[in-house]
Amino acid sequence: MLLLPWAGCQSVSILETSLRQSHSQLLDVQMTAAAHQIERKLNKSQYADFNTRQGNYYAPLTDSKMLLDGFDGEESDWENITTPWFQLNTYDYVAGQSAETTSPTTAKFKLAANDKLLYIFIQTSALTPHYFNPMQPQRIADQLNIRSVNNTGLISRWQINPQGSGRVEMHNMSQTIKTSRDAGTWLWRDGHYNIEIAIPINLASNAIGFDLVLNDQQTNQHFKSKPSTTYERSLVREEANLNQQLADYTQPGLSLYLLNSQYWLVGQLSADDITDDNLGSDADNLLEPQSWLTDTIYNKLFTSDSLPYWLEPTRLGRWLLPQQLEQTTWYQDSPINKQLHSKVIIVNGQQFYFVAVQDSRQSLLSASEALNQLLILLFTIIAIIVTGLFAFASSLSWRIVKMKQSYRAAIDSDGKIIAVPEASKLPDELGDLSRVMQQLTINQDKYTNYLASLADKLSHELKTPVAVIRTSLENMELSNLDSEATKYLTRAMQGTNRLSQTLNALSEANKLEQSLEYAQWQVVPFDDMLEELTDAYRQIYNSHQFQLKYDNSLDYTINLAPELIVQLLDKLISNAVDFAPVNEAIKFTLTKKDKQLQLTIENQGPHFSSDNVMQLFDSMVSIRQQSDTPHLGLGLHIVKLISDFHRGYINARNLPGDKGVIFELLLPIENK
Amino acid sequence: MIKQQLHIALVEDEINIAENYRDALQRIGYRVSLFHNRQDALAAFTLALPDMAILDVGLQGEYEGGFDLCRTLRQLSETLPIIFLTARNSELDEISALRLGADDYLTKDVSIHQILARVSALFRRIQALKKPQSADEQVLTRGALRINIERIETYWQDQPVTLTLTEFWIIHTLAKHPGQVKNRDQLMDAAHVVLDNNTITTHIKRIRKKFNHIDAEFNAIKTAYGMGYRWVIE
Repeated sequence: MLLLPWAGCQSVSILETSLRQSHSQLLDVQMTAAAHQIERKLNKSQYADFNTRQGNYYAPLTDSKMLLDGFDGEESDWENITTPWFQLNTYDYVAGQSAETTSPTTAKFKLAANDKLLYIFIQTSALTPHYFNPMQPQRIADQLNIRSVNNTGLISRWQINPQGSGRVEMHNMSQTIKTSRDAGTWLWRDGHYNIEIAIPINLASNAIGFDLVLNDQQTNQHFKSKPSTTYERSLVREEANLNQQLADYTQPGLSLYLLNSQYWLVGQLSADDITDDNLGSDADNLLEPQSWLTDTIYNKLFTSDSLPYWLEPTRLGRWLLPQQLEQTTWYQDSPINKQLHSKVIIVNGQQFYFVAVQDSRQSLLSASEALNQLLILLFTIIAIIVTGLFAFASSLSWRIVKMKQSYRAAIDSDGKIIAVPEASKLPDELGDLSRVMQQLTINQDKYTNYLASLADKLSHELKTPVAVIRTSLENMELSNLDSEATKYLTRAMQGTNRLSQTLNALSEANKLEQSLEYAQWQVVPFDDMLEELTDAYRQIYNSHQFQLKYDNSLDYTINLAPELIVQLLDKLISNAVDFAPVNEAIKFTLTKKDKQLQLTIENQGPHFSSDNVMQLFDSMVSIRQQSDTPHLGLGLHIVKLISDFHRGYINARNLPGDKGVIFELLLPIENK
Repeated sequence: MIKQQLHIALVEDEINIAENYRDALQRIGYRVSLFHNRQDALAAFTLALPDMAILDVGLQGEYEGGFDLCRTLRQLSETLPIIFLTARNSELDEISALRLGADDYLTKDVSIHQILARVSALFRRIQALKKPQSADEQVLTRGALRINIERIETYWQDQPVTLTLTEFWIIHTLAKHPGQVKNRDQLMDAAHVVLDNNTITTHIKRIRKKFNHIDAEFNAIKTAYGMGYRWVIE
């Protein structure tokens, strides 16, 4: 049954693969079209002459306006700028050599830009600050010089002379009339400088260079971008207007990147940004119905572990692994797969890479939906099958239970078959079993009846030959025989009599069973009946004593077959008298229990041997010692037959102590 | 001798037993005719009835040939003493036999002496019936019961009750001393028969039924459990 979901998942997997391929092709076509479009647009646009030079410095786009407070790290404006630090190298200014020198002090910086300002954050290692003292302007002090070039080739020079830790001004050195403006903050903090400043982007859009002059042991150390007087380096930055261009190609799950020839990111469109904003409620509608279960199953099934892991490639502002761009590749980005496509476009003779990364969750949504529907269908089918199987199993179990009950009801506690249960007519295995069981029961019943009647048949068949022998012997007895012959005749007669008694005993129980049909039921006061009976027993067994106890105030009227009950009690008393010592009374106790009367008869005879007490009531079981008269143990069997006939219960047990036994007879008051 | 004049027909298919019984009966002076099947017996009976018939139930392939014969004999004579002597000891057979009007039902395990005793008891009863002992006892009235001993007739509420000889003598013995418990032995003596205890019980049952047939309220025969029976005048 589990093959079914497996096969379903396989088919969805195939579907997914083909969808992936077709989507890949589709993406390729779209990409080609988009690449041409962008190429054309950029060539035509007013930004056509944007910086396409090889970038030495890179400024990512920052959304917010930065607060120039000199702080970096957590919760500062720079936290989100993940591009690497650029180093400023020291050059021996005094010697005028271009060779780099080493210095214990280091300086590094980061850039960020928006459409108005270029933000600069410079950090040095530990040092001793030397501030500019306006009172002693000739004294050596720390200083920052900046050269910037814009798109039009205008060169701007700036200088900052900090007079202490705090806000600083910037002097525009390129103009004939020096102007100063608020530049930002120059902090001396934890033993090092944090310099956070901003300059207009339109003055630095092409290149920027730094010359940080730091005093060390009365000598100036220059930390510069380049060891020359024109120390600016070209600047590449991510541009908001390019991002807007890319926004035209928004698709769910699609990320677009525009890289320059050196793989610097100049424009991007992130799938994360657009999913919610641009698609709005449509995306919600598409994504919401997916249950977590389907998602989990889908991800388990279709996120291949064999694919290379996806790493966000533009964290450092530059595409990390340029070789990725060479071909269309799938990556795994738990829990979804990503597909990467790249195209080369040429703008103003410069090579650009146009990269698209498609998130497979969006593209293969339909496969997932197919899976969803398939799963629903499969679960429905499985639920129906399971329900069907359960119902089938229940019906089998019910039939077995029914059969067990009917057979349990059919056989009484003595193993006798009361009525043969109906056999099932159904043609299945249980029906067969039922029929076999019925046949077995019928056979068992026949065999039981055969056994029950065996003794009777045997005695009947033996009676005639015994009668022949006996009558012959009796006739012989009547003729005159000599004393020798008489001796043998007497022995033969004794043997025949004994055989005759045995035969009678054998058929007695069977005879009783037959006579039960003719039993006469009568409503009698059981206490009076017992009074009469104990009187009778006193006369018959005058060597024994009999006691009868009952509550005089109660009514012991009961419906029974008196002749049979007398027969039952005769057997019990005959049994008791055989075993009970002469001097101790045989006690009858009559009590009323709900809808039953209980009669107990106890005597002080020896205990039953403990292991076969209930067997006493079976036919042909005797625990008596060998005696002269034949004893087949039928007396108590007759007691049981009569008790059962009255729907009563007979039980025998030993009394506590070393002697004494008690018989308990329970008879229902209402009967037939 | 009276006995020499008495003729007993013995219908028994087991020749050995039949001859043994015949020998025993002849030894004490009865005249005995043996029949081994129903047809022979019936042919003889239609010519002349014996003084007593002793029948087996199963006769040479006829499972209930003895019962059929008994039925025919009862049609021929209401008073002919009939004894069943059979190996069958089921109560059903016994009841059937008595219902057909047999006077006694013996199984083959009784001794020949008992059989002889019953035969002579039955003959004695016939003698007694023929010779009422005293004029006073000829009619016995106990409430609704009236017994004519001479004519062996019983009436309950002036309606005749058809009883066998055994049943008649049981009723007579009980009614003679109302209230007195008569045990089974006493009843057997009175009926001049040797019956086992169960047979007396069966007779009592049949007697009650016969009276109940006339009077549904009949309750004059009380059981003294373990002791016997007594006649109660209400």
